[in-house]
Order: sequence, then C-alpha cells, then structure tokens
Amino acid sequence: MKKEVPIAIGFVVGVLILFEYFFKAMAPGVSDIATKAQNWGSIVSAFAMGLAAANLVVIHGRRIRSKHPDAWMSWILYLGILVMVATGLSAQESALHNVYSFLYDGLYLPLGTAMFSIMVFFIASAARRAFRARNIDAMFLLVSGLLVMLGNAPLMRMVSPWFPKASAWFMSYANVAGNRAIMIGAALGMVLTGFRVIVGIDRSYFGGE
Amino acid sequence: MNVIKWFGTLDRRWLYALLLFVVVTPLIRPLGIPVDVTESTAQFVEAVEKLKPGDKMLLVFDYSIGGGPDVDPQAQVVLAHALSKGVKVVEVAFIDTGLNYAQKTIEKWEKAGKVYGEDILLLGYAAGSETAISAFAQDIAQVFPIDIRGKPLSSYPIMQGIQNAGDFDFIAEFATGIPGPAEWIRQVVTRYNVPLGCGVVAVMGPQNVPYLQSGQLVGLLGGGLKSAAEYEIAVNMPGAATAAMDAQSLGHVVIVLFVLIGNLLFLVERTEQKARKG
Amino acid sequence: MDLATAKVWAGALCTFAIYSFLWKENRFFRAFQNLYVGLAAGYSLVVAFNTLKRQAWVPLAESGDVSVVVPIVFGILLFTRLSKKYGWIARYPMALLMGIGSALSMKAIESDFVRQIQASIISWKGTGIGGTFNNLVLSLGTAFALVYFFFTFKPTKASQVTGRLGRWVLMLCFGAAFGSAVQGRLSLLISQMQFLLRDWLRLIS
Repeated sequence: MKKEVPIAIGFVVGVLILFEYFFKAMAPGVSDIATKAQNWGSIVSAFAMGLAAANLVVIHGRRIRSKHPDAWMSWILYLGILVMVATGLSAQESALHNVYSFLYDGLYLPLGTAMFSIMVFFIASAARRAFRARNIDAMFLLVSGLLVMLGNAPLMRMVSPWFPKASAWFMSYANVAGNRAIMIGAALGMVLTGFRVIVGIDRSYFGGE
Repeated sequence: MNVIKWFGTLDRRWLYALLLFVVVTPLIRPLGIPVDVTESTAQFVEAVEKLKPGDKMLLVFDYSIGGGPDVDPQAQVVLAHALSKGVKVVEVAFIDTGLNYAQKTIEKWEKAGKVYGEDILLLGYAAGSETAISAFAQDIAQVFPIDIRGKPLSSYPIMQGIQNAGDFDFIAEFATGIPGPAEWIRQVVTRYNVPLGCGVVAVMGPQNVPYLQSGQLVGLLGGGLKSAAEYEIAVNMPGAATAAMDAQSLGHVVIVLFVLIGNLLFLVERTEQKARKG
Repeated sequence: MDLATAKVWAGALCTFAIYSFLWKENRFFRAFQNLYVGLAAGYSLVVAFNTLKRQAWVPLAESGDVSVVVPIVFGILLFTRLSKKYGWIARYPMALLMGIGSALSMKAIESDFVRQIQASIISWKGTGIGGTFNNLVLSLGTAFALVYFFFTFKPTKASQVTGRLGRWVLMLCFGAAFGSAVQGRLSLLISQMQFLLRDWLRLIS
C-alpha cells in the first residue's frame, strides 16, 4: 500500500499520457482519458497551493510555540494570510473587496517589486569585487557579459554602432550554441528522469520511507 | 592608482547612491536617447501585424510580481496593438499573480469601449503549470468550464469555434519563469503548430533565443523592458517602457564602469602581490 | 483619502521599508518581509479556492460530473503530508502529479532534442567569410559544448581540446546571461522609481 500503489498510479498515468501522445491516431478515445487525467492533475495542484500555505502556518506555529525572539514576525505573517483570505473571498461589490484591492495593490505588489528590485544594488556592489578576469574562462564570460550590457544600453549606439551589433552577435551565435547544447543535454536528462519516475526507480517524491 | 584603490575600499552604500542617482535623474530630466528595434522584436510585431480583424489571439499572463515590471509593459503593448487591429483576445493565466495583471487589462479595455465576451475575455487561472497547460491545450472547456465572471464559455461570441489551443490564430505568452516558452512549445506548438510569440524577463531572454532560431517561436521579446520599449516604438505607441530607456542606458554604463574599475583594481593588487613575492 | 491615494502611500511606505535593507538589516524591513510572505500565501489561497470552485465544484454541482470527485479526494489526501503518522498517504496524489509531470516533460525529446539538433545541422557556407564563421560558431559551438558535457568515457586528446572550446562557448553564453540579468534587475529598479516619482511624488507624468 505504501509503495506499490503510488508506483502503480504514477506508472498508469505516465504511460497513458505517453501512449496518447505517440499513438493517438491508433486509439482516438484515449485522448479524452488523457486530457481528463491532466485536468485532475491541475485540480490536485490547486490543493497543493493550499498545502503550501498550511505548511507555512505549521512552521510559524512552531516558532510561536517555542517562544522564539522573532515570534512577533510570525504573527505578522499570520495577519497577512488572515486579512488576505478574509477579504479576498468577499463578494466583488462589497466594501471588504476594496480592502482586498488595497492589500494587493498597496502592499503585496509594491513589496514584491521592491524586494526584487534591490537585487540590482547587490549586483552593482558585487561587480566591483566578483566579476573579474582571473583566468581565460572568466575572461570570455566577462567580455561577453560587458558587450551584452553595453549593447543593451541604447546610449552606446551613439558612441558606436558596433556595440549593439556585437551584442546581437553574441546573442544570436555564441549564446545560441551554448544554450542549445544545454537544452539538448537537459532534454535527455528530462527523458531519463521521467522514465525513472514512471517505472518507479526514482521515488524521491515519497519523501522518506 | 590611489583612486582605484580608494574605489575598492569605498563603502558599498556610496555605490548604491550613485546607481540610484543615475537612474532617477534621466527619469526626471529625459535625455531622449533613440532606441533601435531589434530583429526578434520586429519579428514579433510582424506576426501580430499579419493578423486580420476578427482573428483570435490567446494572451497568456504567466508572470509573477517579481518580474512583472519587466514583462507587463510587453503584454500591455502587444494587447493594445492586437486590439487596435480588431483582433479578439482571450486571456488566461497559469501563474496566480498573472491573473491579477490580466484582470487589470480587462478593466482598462472595458473602460476604453471594448466589449467583454466579444472583443476580450478572461478565462481565469489554472494551477499545475505544464500539466494545466497541456490539459487546457487539449480541451479548454474542461479546465475552464466557466470564465472569471462565472458564465459558461459557450455563452460568449468570442469563444465560438474555439475548443483547443490549435484553434487560436496566434498565442502570445509572457513569462517570468516556469511555465514559460519551453513548456508552451512542448505542449502546444509541437502538437498544434500554432504560431507562438513569447515575451520574457531579460534574465530568460538568452536561453530562449534557440527556439526563435529553430522557428519554434515566431517572435521573442527577450530583453524585458527594453523589448517592450522597442515594441512601443515599432507600433508608435510610446509608453512607460520607452520613458525608462534613458535610465536603463545610464544604469548599464555605471555597472560596466564598476566592473572595469574592479578589474583594474584586480590588476593592481596582482601586480603588487607579484612585486612583494619577487 | 480615496482608495487610489491610500494604495500609492502604502506602496511608497513598503518601498522604503524594503529599501531600508540597503542601509543595514533592520526590524522594519523584516516585519514587512514577513507581511509580504503572509500576503503571498493568503493570495495564493484565495486564488486556489476560486480555481477549485470553478474547475471542480461547478462541474460536480452544476453539470453532475462525478469524475471530479477523484481529484478532490486526491487533493484532500495531500494534506496528510502534514502528519508524521499518515504522511505516506500523500504519496498517492504525489504519484499522480509526478506521473503526469514526468510524461509531459518527456515530450522535450521532440521540442528540445530533435528540433534543436535539426536546427544545428546547417550549411557551413554562409554569405561571405562572416556568414561562414557565424554558421561554424553555431554548429561547431553546439557540438563542442556537448562534448564538454560527456563524462561517461575516458577523455582523449581530441575530446579534451574540443571540450575546452566548448567550455569557452558556454562561458560566452553565461556572460550573455549575466548581461541580461543585469538588464532585468535594472528594469525593476527603474519601474519602482517610476512609481515613486510618478504616482507618489508626481514629479513626472
């Protein structure tokens, strides 16, 4: 029950979807079943979003119970979840929905964009120390990085039309060659990993025996 | 020499302040640096330009808040371009925050006179990333029995003749991660051969160029905000992205200078180290 | 104060709270960071609820499609993951998700393997010396970078040389990625500054 059934479920749906993809012309009816299975997957994924939030609540509950000095932050997190859910599930026309709109546009959105936007400051600061041509490999990386950056700055076209051209060359040729090789390698990896999961060799999703 | 060494020991907060200054100044006092339209953007514009009035486009909002400022201007200008040509647009999201961006476009275009259900429609959000995309591609009504306003899809004129992803004349997908172009190509382009154009955050741009070169994408807005600015200029609809390009230019130049000075500092340190040993 | 103004002022406050981290780590920043995580979790719960209502409840209650009971039960079983004793039950829905996800990702064999190899098989002869050089970079560059990834056989002199060239191709590609990453992050900063200058301070239109 603990091992065989999950492996069987994974095997049946995996083979079903692969069969439908490669042999749908031979068995037209199988398409409907495969689509239904995928729709089921989408529904279960929506529950998984709930699980993620529940997990967060459990972890922060532990922090509060352990009287951690930062427990007050967990209360703030709880408050965030609570007000968002309470107002988000209210009717579109209600006053509570205005509060939800305020929470999203006034807090959640600017907090998210601000959080990610500060990274450029760290990149600028790291540029001084970390991005150095210590060897020939690093030199290739540096030259390509600098030329792409300069090519991406419209100002540099006024200095020389060569900058955007060099940037475009790196993007269209050297970059394509490298990324294509990564893509080909990753595709093989995906096929092999997928096969291992479907036949039950890879059971990492079991999460411990 | 001393200036370079001084730069190496300078408190990082001064660097932050300098970067902030060069970004803010051109936003207040624009320099008007011209922006060129790159080939991949021109291809995207051409693909939308080819659409005829009444053609149906699927617009996919697969972007999160973190990358939204980089990608949202792309989606906005592509949507404006398509609607200006009389193209009917069906919107959908496979990332939860994408749904909110999509809802805002519906509000905006309804105010501008477009009719919900005839010119524009929002299906909603489906969880499960690639799984949901694949299910959606094969049978839209199964994943979205009703739209965001709670009515069956068959009740809307815009959905007449649309059963699967292959029934759209063009798909424009905007992404900040997974799902992104790779997932859409795998599940939709390979199966239905429908033209797909993608707009992505600048970080994802390089890794998706091979798809453009192999013909699996008909257009790629791979430079984030800069690609949005190029698109705005190409279709003569200048907006926030175009206004940001001066700041983008100066910001880049400052970071390049930091890198170059950092390398000079490295050379100085290494020379001194060798001299001490020798 | 109307709703739009309240949103702008709250947005400005949030921006300063997050940017205060640039000065130094502080409690104000951490409080808003936790609020952000809470709001994100709350938002995803709201969206998940509405999605389930549309995708599972409507077909069940209005169309009488009883087959959706299966994913609903599987979805509920996912929550057993929170229990040490019954956590293993969550393997059932996980197996469903993993089986579907794995099979779908295997389609990469066509889109990312066959099609990319096809696209690399191009004539070396281009327009002029430049065109030929570019085509060589494209096809040989891909091949050399692939050689760099071969770890399953004993390296020969030829594979070492081509592997090294392949590594340089990858370095050029990573450099392009770095340059683009800087561009993307800069855009986020610009957008945030546009928000402060336009919506909050009204210094720009």
